[in-house]
Formats: sequence, C-alpha cells, structure tokens
Amino acid sequence: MLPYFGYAIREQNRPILDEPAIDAAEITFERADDPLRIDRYVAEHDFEYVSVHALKLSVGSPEPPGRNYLDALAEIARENGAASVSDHLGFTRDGHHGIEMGHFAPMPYTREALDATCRNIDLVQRHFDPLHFYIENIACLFQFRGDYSEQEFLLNVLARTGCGWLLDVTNVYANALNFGFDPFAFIATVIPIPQRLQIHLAGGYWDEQAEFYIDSHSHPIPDAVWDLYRHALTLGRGRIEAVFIERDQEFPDEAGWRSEIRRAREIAEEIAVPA
Amino acid sequence: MTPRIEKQETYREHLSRIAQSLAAGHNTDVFENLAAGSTPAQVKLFTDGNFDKRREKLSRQVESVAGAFPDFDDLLERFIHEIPLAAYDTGADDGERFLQWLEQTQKPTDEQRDYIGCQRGRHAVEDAARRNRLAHVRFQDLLGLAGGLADELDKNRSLVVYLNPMRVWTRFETRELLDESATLPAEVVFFPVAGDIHTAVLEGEGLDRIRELASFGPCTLDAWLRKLDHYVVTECVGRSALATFCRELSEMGLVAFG
Repeated sequence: MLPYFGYAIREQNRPILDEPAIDAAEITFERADDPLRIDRYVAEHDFEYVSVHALKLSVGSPEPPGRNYLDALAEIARENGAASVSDHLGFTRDGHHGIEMGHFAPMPYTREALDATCRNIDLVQRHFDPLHFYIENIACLFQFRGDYSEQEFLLNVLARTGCGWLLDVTNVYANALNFGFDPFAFIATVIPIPQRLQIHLAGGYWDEQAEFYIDSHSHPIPDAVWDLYRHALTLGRGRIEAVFIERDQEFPDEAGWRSEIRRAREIAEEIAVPA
Repeated sequence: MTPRIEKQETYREHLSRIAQSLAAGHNTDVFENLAAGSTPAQVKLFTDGNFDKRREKLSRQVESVAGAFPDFDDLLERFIHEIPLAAYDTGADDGERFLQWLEQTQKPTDEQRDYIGCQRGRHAVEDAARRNRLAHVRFQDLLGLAGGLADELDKNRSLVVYLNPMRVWTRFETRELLDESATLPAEVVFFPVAGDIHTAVLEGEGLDRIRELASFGPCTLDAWLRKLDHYVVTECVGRSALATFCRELSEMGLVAFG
C-alpha cells in the first residue's frame, strides 16, 4: 500500500495542486478558518485524502480543549471531506487563566503530564470519531525537566491512547541535532507502536549563532531528512496513510514545488517495490 | 484530596506558571525548570519568535487604525508586552482587545475614534460571518446570481429581495474617513462581498428603505409595498422606484434576489 502524497496547502502552492504526484492535502486549521471564505478550502480539488492540522488543541494542558475549538475543527473537516485530524504533542496555553503562549512548547515530560495528555487525546478521539486523530512529535527549542525522555513520553502516549503518529521526520532530525540522540534509533523505537501513521517533511536551517537547527519550513528538505524518510517508510510499511510536505517561507518556484513531492512519491514507490 | 488529584493540581499550577511566564516573556522564571542541555538563549528564541508572530498578525488585524496614531508601532509593542494573548486567539480577538486598550489608555480624538469604529465594523462583519457561516455563504451564492435577476425585478413578481445578513452599522462623527459632502453624523454600513468587506454611507430615504427591508425580512417588492401601506402614511413609494433602489443596492453587494 502506497501512502497518499500532498502538501500542506498554502496560497503559494495552490497553482501546482493539480500535479499528478499529489493525491492528498493537509489543511492547517488556523489558515482555513477565514470567516469570509465562501468556497471549500480545498476548492475544486478532489483529493483522495484530506487531513486537518490543528495548532491549539494543547493536549498537554491540564484542561481539556475547548468545545468551540473542537467543533470548529470538526466543521472544517466535514466541509472538506477530511479523513483525519492532527495536532502537536505540546501545550500552548494556561487554560485556567485563559492565556495563550502563541506557539506550542513541549510540556515537562512527567507522569502527571502523561496522564493529562492521554486524557485529552482520549477526549479528542471521541469527539472526532470516526475521523482518526494523529499526534505529531514537535521540534523543541528547549525542554523541561521531567520523568521521561521525549521518546519515552511519545511511546507511552501512543500506547495508552491508540492514536495515530504524525511522524514529523524533520522534527526528529532537528531534535536529534539539537539535543544529541540518534534519530534512526528514535524512529525505530517508536514506529512499531502506532497502528497508523502520517509523515511530515520540511526543511529548516542550521543557525550558526545559536548553534541550533531551526525548523523554519523555509528550505528544501535536506538529504539527511530524505534518508530518515526512507528509514521511516521501510519500518512503517503498510501503516503510513499519508505523506505531507510543509513549506511556510522562502517559497520555491513551480519546478521546486513539483520536484519535492515527486521525490517523496518516488522514494515510497522504490521502497514499496524493491528492485 | 487523593494523591492522584493532588498531583493533577500540582501539574496544573506548574504548567500555569510556565505558560504565564512564557506568554509574558518573563523567561528567567522558567530557567530553573529547564532540562539539562536546554539554555536560556533557547527560551528567548521561543518567546521572541512568539512576540514577532503576534506583532505581525496583530498589525494585520488593526491596519485600518495604523495611520491614525503617530506612535502606532510603539503602542503595538506596549500592548503585546502588557496584555497576554487570550486563549485560542480566534479571528481578530487580539485586534479587538488592542482597540479596547487603545480607548482606555490613549484618550483618542473623535477622528481617531472613527478609525477605531471603522476597524471594529470590519471585525464585527468577520465575527458575524464566523457565527453564521451558512447564512453568509447562502447570501453570497445568491449575490452571484443577482446580476442576471436584477433585470427581472420589474416583471417577475415572485422574486424575493434579500438583505445581506452580515451587515454591521457604525456611526462616524467626523469627516476623517468620509467625503466632504457627507452629513454628520454619518451612518456607515459594513458588509462582505465575496472575500472582501465593503462599506457604504447611507442617509435619508435610502437609509429608511434599508431599515424597512431589515424589519420586513426577505420579501417580494409587492409584499414590501403592502407593508409600507401599513406602516408609513406620510410618503408614497412606487414599485418602480423600489426596484431601481434594489438594483443599486445589489450592485453594491447589499441586496440579492432569489
């Protein structure tokens, strides 16, 4: 079984969404949530697979996600015929005092955080059923002290909730560079657990001054990430539903857009049918 | 309190402290919680990035007001550091809170208040469309057909006239955003057309007609005229004049037919 392939839709890649290598699309909820929009966000395209990607479920918060936000996500999913919803393994707010940080951060990987996260994901899965829910490993700028490593925490979340894993290969690569672990081993350890997977690919850059890999979605996918992608496709064969490429800055020309998604598909085809 | 609930409460307080500190950019408050290998510089990278994104988004949400305050960029900067982003930050929530803050802290002039009212009108249209998306989409679909139906208005007596349900009114007290000829105070209506927000200044008879249609609801021209016979005794409106008026409103995007 080949995964579906597509881009996280941005206005800049709409002109190439008819590319034959593309049969899927990811809708970032916060971009699609334009109240004056009249047409479906996916417009006239008839994708085989659509996923809605959220930024503010904040599953690591002690409080459950707000009902209005869940309903708005479900509505965008319904309007665009989505098969799944995803968000990040992190927290974005102090729900008790109604304060948003602006972007998700990793929660302290503690037992209490694990309980809260699993409780929230259970609730999210019940809300979106029959759509599948995927949790994405994030690229961390920093980490808090806790009882678990990121890998252990993620393993526990996937095992306890049974949700899908949105394996962001670039995030694994970034964290491995920044925090010093083996990204191949990370993927090999976690990937047997989830029943279903999606994959994210993107390109960032090495910030010389900060001595840090920044997951900026602003560059072509680096070769090291393509290597990790091959590794993930091999180990996750038969369970990977979709592969999405994200690009948010310094957009490529038409040939650039087309070449990355074609490459993602070609690699998967090579692995599905070994020479 | 059971040990489990106690732990949950501890986690709630712990995360609450972290989130509040990071939201306010009080990075030093979280340094003691960092894992080995994480540095204060990395936390600063996170909070600086969040402030940058918020500033950029907020600027777009209040762009109508930018020209009205000479120290606008400084005001934005003060606001994002004084007032944390609200949970979920839906639509133009942050922009609305900035406008409230401006009114409370800056004692705006009448001219500046008109700019604020203009921006609020735009936000209110978006908010209305978000709360009743179905009505917004239905009207815009009808509006797409209105050009063809407008010519039938004189003959087709079953055509129903619809007023854009997402209209929002505000009142301008100065001519800062108006033509020199406008009467003050001016009643200004904001309404969506496709993906944009349009405005119109209405006065006199035109304003009366809009209020009538809003009150009578979607109706045919004949039903509108019958109701006018009941409610208005001082003036006589002809069917042809009403049809012409509706066609003009339709070209603006305020009225559609179905």
